[in-house]
Amino acid sequence: MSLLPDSVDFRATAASSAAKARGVAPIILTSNGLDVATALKCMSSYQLEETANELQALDDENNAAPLIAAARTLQSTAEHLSLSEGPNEERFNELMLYASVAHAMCGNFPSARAALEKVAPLFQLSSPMRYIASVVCDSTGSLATASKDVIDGIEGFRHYWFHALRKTTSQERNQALRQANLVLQKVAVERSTSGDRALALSIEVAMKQASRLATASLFEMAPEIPSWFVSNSIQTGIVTLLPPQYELLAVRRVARTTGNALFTLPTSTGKTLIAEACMATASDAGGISIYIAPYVAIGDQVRMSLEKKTTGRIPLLPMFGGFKTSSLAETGDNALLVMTPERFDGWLRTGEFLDALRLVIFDEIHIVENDTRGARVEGLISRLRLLQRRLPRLRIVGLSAVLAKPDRVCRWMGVEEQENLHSMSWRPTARRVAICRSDGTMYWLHGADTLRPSNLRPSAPLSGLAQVALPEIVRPALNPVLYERQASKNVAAVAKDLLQRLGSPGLVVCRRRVDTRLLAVSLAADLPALQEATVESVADDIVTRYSWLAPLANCVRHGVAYHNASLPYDIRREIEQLTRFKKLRVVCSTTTLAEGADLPFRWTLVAHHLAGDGTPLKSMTFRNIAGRNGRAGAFTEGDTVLFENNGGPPESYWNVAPVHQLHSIMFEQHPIESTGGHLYTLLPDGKRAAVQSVFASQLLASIKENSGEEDIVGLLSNATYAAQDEIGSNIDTLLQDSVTNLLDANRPGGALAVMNSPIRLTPLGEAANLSGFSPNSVRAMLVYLTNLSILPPPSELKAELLLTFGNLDEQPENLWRKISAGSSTRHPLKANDMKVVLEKIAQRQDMRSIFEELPARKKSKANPDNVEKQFDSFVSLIDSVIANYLPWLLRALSGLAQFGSTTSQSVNWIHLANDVEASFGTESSDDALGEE
Amino acid sequence: MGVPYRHSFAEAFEEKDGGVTAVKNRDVESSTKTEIPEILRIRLCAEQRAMNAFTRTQVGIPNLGKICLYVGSPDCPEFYTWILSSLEEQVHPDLKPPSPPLKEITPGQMGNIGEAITVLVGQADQFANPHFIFGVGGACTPFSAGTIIGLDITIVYLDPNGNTVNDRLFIQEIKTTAATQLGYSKALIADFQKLLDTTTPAQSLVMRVSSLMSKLKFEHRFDRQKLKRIEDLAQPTPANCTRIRLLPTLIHDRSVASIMDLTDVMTKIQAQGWPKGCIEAWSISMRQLEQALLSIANRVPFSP
Repeated sequence: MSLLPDSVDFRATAASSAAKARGVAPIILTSNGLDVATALKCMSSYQLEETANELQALDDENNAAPLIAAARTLQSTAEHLSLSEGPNEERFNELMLYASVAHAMCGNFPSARAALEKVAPLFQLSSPMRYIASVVCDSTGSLATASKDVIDGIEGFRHYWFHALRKTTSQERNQALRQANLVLQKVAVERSTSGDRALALSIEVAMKQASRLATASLFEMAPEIPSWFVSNSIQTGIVTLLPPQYELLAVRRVARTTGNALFTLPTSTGKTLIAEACMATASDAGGISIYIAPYVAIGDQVRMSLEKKTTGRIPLLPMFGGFKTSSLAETGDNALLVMTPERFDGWLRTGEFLDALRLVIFDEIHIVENDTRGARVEGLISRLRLLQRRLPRLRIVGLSAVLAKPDRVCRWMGVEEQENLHSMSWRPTARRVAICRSDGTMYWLHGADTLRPSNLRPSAPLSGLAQVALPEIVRPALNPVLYERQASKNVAAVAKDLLQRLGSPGLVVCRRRVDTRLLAVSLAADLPALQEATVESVADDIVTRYSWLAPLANCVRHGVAYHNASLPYDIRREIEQLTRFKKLRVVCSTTTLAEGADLPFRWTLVAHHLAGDGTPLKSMTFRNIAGRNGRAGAFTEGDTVLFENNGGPPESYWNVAPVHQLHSIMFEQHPIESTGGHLYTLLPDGKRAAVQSVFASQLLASIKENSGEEDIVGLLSNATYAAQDEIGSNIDTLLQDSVTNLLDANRPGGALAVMNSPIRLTPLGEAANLSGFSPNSVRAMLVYLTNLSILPPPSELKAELLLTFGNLDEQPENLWRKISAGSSTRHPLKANDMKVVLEKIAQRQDMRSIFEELPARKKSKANPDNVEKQFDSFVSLIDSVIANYLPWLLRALSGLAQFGSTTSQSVNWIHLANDVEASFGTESSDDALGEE
Repeated sequence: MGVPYRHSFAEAFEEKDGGVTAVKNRDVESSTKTEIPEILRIRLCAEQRAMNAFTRTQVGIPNLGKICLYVGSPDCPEFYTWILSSLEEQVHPDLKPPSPPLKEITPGQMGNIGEAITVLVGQADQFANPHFIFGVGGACTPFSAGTIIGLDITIVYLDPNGNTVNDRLFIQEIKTTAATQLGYSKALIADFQKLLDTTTPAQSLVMRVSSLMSKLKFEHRFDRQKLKRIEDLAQPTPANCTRIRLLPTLIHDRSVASIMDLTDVMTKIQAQGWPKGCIEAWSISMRQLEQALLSIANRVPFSP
């Protein structure tokens, strides 16, 4: 529905200004004057839009493309001019204010707010019209919520506008809107310069958009959503919905629909609010709703958000961490739960309050293709699908920002595509992508952007070449360690270039933990100290608490940090907090942060086109990373640069990474694959065994949950995502093998299930099910428990357990697998050290000193770099093996001990597990609820 | 807040039966500098329109367009008298002539009077039809020393039969100079250049038109269809502004020939990319212009 004549090539000017704002020559050069004139024409063409249908049509990015282009062009020109022609505050402010209004005209209020943030406060107050524009573009800002008019001549606009968005009934809101509009008209006619008056019609459209998208409209348009939820959302500052939220909650009424649903919406389009509204609606009249978060960081954000919106109306319980079968006795059958998949698995196996289960939301559902975690999520959804046969009120919802070709997932989840597949492409911020080749040439591409001309492919260049001066020559080498430092310096050079071009904060995603540290140190050495009180205080704090992190503290003082799982939990949270408040220039992290947290990064540099295991980065991972920067409300654009990094083993290269292969990382779209599908046989041995164990454990749970079923293998197999694999599935064989194992009475402990037509679990099988381990692992534990006759002291016992069960499929750390198996490694941690390490951990000794006191470490003459790498892997091992795996193992032994020796039954395994968790401070708040 | 100003004689208009009719006088404070252009119609009465106090001669300039030469008829004194009486007819009764009389006028007031003269001439000649909608700047405060930032005169014509091909936007920029050299006319080139090659939004042609639309919508209740037709007139590139007409106007002493200077102005404006045939330059001249303008400011008779 473009309202523009064909001669107005807004896509060309948007691309040109975007390139210029990045200090790069555009492919088609346009003058700055033409860029601005075109943008303004786009705005003026839409300033007479007034009906609800016309405004709603702008929710479709195709319809709103000229306005999107206008907003971006004006902002890009402001940035470009302030860089190329020096500061001209008046012009910069004016362009930014117009950009803000253009965003608001298409209902993109987060970007309107982000653009307005760049407008000097005095400029916002310099005339009544500018003031009104500022209030409309940021309806929760200080000007909009001030208790009285900040300047004369506004006649209570702020007051009317406040109520136009917040009153409960549409009649009251419309009345307030009319009054606000009268003020706007009066200001336009009587108190405006020609320039200010020119904004009036655009502001009027923005006001109508805000009114249409008012969160308060849900009171009447979606009465199924509890009114307290709507009120609390408004209280927390969500006074307008994003267009996808409005469409889904107010128009499609997804909170009241009952069928399974799949939401594929880009990052920052407000999926969480939609999910929360569904949860509140589902549990308002009783029942349990669950949000499954793939990462603790996401789960924590959801918990905090839900806390504000529920304000105690429904009990809210976070359950994070590894497998554990907690009880919900204290919350009862009406609760909102935020869980990791492992905790959900544990709870589901108890069967407690299962009849009250109303809604389960799986965030980032695409993780189904991620190794064992993916297999577990696949197993969980498959089990829920089977449970839906007897729990008709149970609804499953999947969320994803990067899911391509979702039809297969829909078939699996039983999502009626016409009704309940909600795919939208609307995004609040522009996602820019660029490539930096190994020779330092860098250029931006159109990517999947809304404004890409239809005749161009995503890989078509948006800009000419920029040259980054890379200080080092790096080549693929048999021993990539040789070039590690040089590669790091090159990445640092690219990061510094981006810092200069795009500002801060930036995120550099590294392949390995060691890279994050090397890079941060390299960057910090070249950047001046920030001299900022908060940053200094955090840096001091880091040194005080963790003396061995002095290099990190030094980086922080220079506005740089590294963030990886080797860092203590509290330090990671503090770095995230500094990032949240934009106090840091650059954060170097592994993909965990990039994929997990919702932090305000302006740009992301993917420092290597290879993943941590040396294989090319998955396209979905890249898209997920790319979606993370340019957070709505904080920025209007986010740039992701993929660096063709030559550092790495030669076998990882495809003939020096031709450019089309970089493009495939960036743009290729495949349906997600099940780990039990045709790819199963291609997995490395270790991973294949681990995946099989997860599915075997899920089968165990299914037998319990579907007692009475004749063909549980066929049933579960058909319910899995793997069964949708068109190329071929291995799931049937895999589950059949597992059943044979379960039924085998001659294996240690006897049969876990009996084929009694139908199959049912034996008491041992029941215990195995609650353990969360695979049948093979359970049998290994039974052997141990049966033979346990002499009870060693706790630390010795735990060390013995870790050594004995170091090779179970569920044990997540390869290094420990080798150490516990007695294989030779260069790492200073040896099998015999574990007892002492556990004692020191129990005494809460810091990680660095435990590491430094390892006998092999004391004797070692490793160079400092290697020592740091060893320390990284030491911390990682402690975290995954001791902090997470060991408590799970101890709890499993607790359940299985009844089948072991008398000695094994005398041990308080739960107490031991709690002790371990206490040493790490990871006891979750719900532990008080008790364990099954 | 708002900048106080005084309309000395301007009348606002509202739409009635497809035409534009004067509705009221304004009387507000004037200031030394304002940015508030006003949409108005200086209502020349029928007698004054018919007084025939000036003549128009057209000079064709090959490949450029034409220049309209306005001079007094039968001579300058009659032209002066007509201008003064036309302005006096419009002036608010409370606004008295300056006392003591001014001995000289500022460039700003000279500019304002020049713009007012241009409006009078336009309304009595080419834009007499009530379907021409005027938006003016300094012309609405000819007796004020303040200058108004913005377009001097914009005239919108919407075909009464709804044939949008005939819709027009006239943009008139005026320079008033009593100098014996007309180098000041070159400033007209920049005036038009900045409409389409500016990075300051408020100065751009599209936003000037938006401003006009706001006024017409909020104050004069123009309907959406008409506003859309006005919106369509302005485009981001000059080549596509096919329904815009540019009227660079020079008000100067009759003793100085202006055709060469205006031809140069037209040539350079054309080079900005505007479509052929869209430029029509005006020359309005009078003998003893400086003294004539001072006399108009003092609202006293004069015979140039």
